[in-house]
Amino acid sequence: MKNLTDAIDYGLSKGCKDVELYVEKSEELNVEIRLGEIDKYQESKSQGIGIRVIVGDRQSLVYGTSDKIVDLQKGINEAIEIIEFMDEDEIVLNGNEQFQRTIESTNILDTTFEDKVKYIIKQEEDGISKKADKALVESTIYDENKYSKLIINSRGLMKKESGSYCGSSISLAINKEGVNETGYSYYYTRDFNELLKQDLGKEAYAKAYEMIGAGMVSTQKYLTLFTPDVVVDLMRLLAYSFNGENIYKGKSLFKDKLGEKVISDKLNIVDNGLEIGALGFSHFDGDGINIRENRIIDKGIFSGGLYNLSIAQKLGLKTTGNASRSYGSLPSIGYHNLYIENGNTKIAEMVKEMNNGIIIKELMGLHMANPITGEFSLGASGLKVINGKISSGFRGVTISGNILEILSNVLAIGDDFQRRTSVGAPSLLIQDVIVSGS
Amino acid sequence: MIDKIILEKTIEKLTSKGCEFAEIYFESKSTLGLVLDNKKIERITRGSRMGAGLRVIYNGRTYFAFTEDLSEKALFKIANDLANKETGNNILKESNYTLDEGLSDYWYSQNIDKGTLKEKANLLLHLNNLAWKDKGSLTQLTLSYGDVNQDIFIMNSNGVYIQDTRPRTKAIIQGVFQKNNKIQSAYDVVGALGDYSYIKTRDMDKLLTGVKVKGENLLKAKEAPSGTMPVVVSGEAGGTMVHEACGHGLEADIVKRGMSVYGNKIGQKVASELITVVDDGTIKGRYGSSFFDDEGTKTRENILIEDGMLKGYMSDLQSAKELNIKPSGNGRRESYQSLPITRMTNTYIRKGKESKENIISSVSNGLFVKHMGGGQVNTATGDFVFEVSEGYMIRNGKIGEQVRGATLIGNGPEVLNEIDMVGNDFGYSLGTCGKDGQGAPVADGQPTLRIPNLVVGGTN
Repeated sequence: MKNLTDAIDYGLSKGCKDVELYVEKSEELNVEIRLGEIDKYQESKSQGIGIRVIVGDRQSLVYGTSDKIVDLQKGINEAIEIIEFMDEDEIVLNGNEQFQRTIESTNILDTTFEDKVKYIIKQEEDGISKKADKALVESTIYDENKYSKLIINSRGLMKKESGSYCGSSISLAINKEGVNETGYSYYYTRDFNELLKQDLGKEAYAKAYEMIGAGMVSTQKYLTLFTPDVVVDLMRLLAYSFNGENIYKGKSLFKDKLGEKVISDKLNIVDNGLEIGALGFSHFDGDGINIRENRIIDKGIFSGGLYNLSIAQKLGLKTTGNASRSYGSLPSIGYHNLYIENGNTKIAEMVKEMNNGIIIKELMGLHMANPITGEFSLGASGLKVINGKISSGFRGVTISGNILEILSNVLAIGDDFQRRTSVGAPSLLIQDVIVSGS
Repeated sequence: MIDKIILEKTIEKLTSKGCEFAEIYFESKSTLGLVLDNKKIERITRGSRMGAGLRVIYNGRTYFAFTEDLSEKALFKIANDLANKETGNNILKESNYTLDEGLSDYWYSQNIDKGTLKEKANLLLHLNNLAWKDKGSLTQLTLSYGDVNQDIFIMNSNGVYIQDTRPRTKAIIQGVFQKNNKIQSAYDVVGALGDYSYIKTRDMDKLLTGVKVKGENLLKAKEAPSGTMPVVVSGEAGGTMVHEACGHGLEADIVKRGMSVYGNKIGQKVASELITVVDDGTIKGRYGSSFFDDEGTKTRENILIEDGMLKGYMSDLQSAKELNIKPSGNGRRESYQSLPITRMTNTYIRKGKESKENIISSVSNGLFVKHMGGGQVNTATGDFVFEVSEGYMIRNGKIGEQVRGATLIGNGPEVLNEIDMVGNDFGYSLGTCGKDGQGAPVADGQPTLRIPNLVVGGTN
C-alpha cells in the first residue's frame, strides 16, 4: 500500500491535480479433462495497475504489470507527458470514502482439488452418455478465479474488495450417419455448491441429441419461443442501449425515451449488482461508487440508463454506480447483474398453446448484430412445434428483426428464469418472428 | 531483455522430472491507443505488459503457468512446481542454444517510423475536422488509432531459441448517420504488420469518405429479402467467408478432437475443383503475418485445399504431433497468459479465371455482396454465418438497388462444393479472430465467387 500512496504523492508533487490508481490481482486455476484424465492444467497469478492522472481539465491513463515504485513513477511521468494531447473535459472523481470488503465464497477455496476434478469427470461421463448414440466430448473445463480490486486516489478514496468465483463448461458432438450435432453448456457462480447442482453434461448431451436429424424450416413468420439462453443473447445486444455513454452520444435506442413505453409492458429489466451470491455482485464500481439496484425497464417503460460519474455529470444526472473498469482503461460503463424478471407461464403450457411454431435454442453470430440500429439477422437453430408438441430440430436458418420490435411482441413470459453468468432471463413467447430458410 | 542463462536454467528445471516437452515464452508488449469520439480526443492510453508463460507436457498432458514476476527465484519456483506435476522417463537431448532472430522481412516497411504522439493525435483531429465540414447525415464519429509493439523470446526443450518483434498498427473509422428518424452506422478499418509508416501511406481521407458514403447509402437502402437465392460475393468483400466456411475446420487442434467436418479427409475432394485455399503467415505487411509463430516455428505458405482436394491442416506443435503431421507455423497465442492453439494467419481463396462482370451478368436474380462484416462457424456441423455490410440486389445480370441488414448462412463443405464461378480479382480484409477466449490478428481474402444457392436472412 505504501508504494501506492507514495506514487500518488509523487504525482501531486509533479503538478497533477489528482492521481487515481486502480489495482487488480488475480489467481486463476483452469483444468481441462479428457476421458477422465487431466489434459490441460493452468495455474497463474497476475496483476496490473492503471495510473489515471489529472492535470487541469485533462486526464490520461498509463497501465502496466509492475507495481515497483520506480515503474509507478515512470508511469506517472509518461501519463503527464501524453496529457497535453487530450481535449479538456469535465472530470469527476469520487473521494473521502474508505472500506475493505471480502465477498465470502469460502466453499470454493475449501473444496479440494480432487472434488473439483470429480465434478467435471462426472459431467464428461454424462456428456458422453450411456445411450446407444455416444457423444464425442470436445472439452470439459473447470475454472476458478480468486481476485482483488483496489481503487485509491488523492481525494481520500480507498476501497478494496476481494472475492472468488468458479465455473465449468462442456462442449460435445453426436455423430449420427456422418452428420454431427453439437451441444454446449456452462455455468459460473460464486458458490461451488451451486455449481455442483448443475447437470452440464446431461444438458449438453440433450441439446445435441434432440437435434439429430435436424432439417430446415421454410421462410415465413413464426410464433416463436426463445429459450433463456437466447433471450440472454438478445439482452447483451440491448445492453448497448442501456449504456449511458451511448445515450449521451446518441447511439442508444433509448435516447430521449425516458418515461416512454419502449417494449412490451409485460417486461421488467433490472441491473442489481447488490444481489448476494450473483456472479455480478460487488460493493463498488470502477469510480469507487457504491453499487445499487437500478430498474432500467419498468413494465415496458424506459425508466433510466446506466451511468458512471463523468457521463452522469455531463447530463446533469447522478451516477447509477455503473462505472466499469479494468486496470488498462479509464472508467467506462457496464452492467453488473442484468436480468429480465421471471414470469409465471409454464413452458409446457406455452408449447401447447402455441400449437404451431418454433423454439429457438441457439443463435449464431451475435457479434454481427448492430446495437445502434437494433437490427439483427442471426443464424438460428432449435426445434419445431407441431400441433402443440415438440417435434424435430432445424438449423441453417436465420432469424431477423429489430430488437425493440421483437421485445414488443411478447405474448408470454416463462417461469424458467436462468442465469449462467452475469445476465439472466426467462423464456419468452414472441409472435411474428421473421425466419429465412428453404 | 531476458537473460539466456535464466531461460536455459528454467528449461533445465522444467525438464528435470522427465517430461516430453518444456517451453518458456517471454513477452514484452507496449501499446498506445487514441480514441476521438464526440469531436474530442477522449482517451489516450499507454501501456506495457511483460510476463512469461511456462509449460511442460507429460504424455500429452499439458501443465501451464504464467507470471509477471520475472525474477530468477519466481521463474525457478514455477518451473519446479510444473515439473513436479508428474514424473516421466523421457531423456531429452541437450541443446546448444543459439538465438535465431526473427527478421523484419514481412513488416510493411523496413524503414522504422514509430511516429510521434503529436502526429497521431493530429491525424485524428484532421479526420474529425474533415468529417464535420460537409457532414451530411453524420451524427456521431468515432476515430481510433492503436499501435502495439510485441517482443517475444521462446526457448524450448527441442532446441528452439528464437526472438521475434512484431509491430502492429490499426486505425478504425466508425460513423453514425441519421435522417428522418432512421439511423445507420458504417465502419472501415486499416491495419498491418508494421509501424506508423503504414498509416502514413494510407489515404485516410479516402477511407473516411468511404465510410460517409456507405452510411448515407445505408439510410437509403431497402431491407434485404429473405429466402434462398444465388449469391455473388465480390473480390473486394473481404475474406470472412473462407475464414468461417473452411478456415476454422482446418485447424489441427479442432481436427484432432474430432470436431471438424474436414477431419480424416486428407486427399479427398472437399470443395469444387475451382477452389484452392491457402494460409500464409509470410505475406509482407499483412495483419496476420509474423516471422515465427508463437512457438518458434517458422511461418510459411500452407496450401490447405488445392483444386478442391484437401491437402493439409494448419497446426501447432502439440496438435501436429498428435496427428503426425509437420508443424505448419500456426501455433499462436494472445499473450504470455495463454497456451498456444492452432490459429489462422492470412487465409485466402486463390484467384480464378472469370471476370467479375461475367459472374454478375450470369445471375438473373440474386444478391451481390460488396462488403462482408463478421462471421461465426460451428466447426463440427460446418454451419457458418457471415454478415453482409454492403449488399445489392442483382436484377437481370445487373447490379440493382442497395439492401441492408442481411446475414448469410450456409454449410461450409456444401458451399465450397457448390461454388461454380471464381473471379480473377482479389481483395483482403483484416480483423481479430476469436477462439477459445483468445484474440488473434488475422487477414482473409478471396476473389469474386458465385454460390448458386445460399440462404439470405434479410428483414423483409
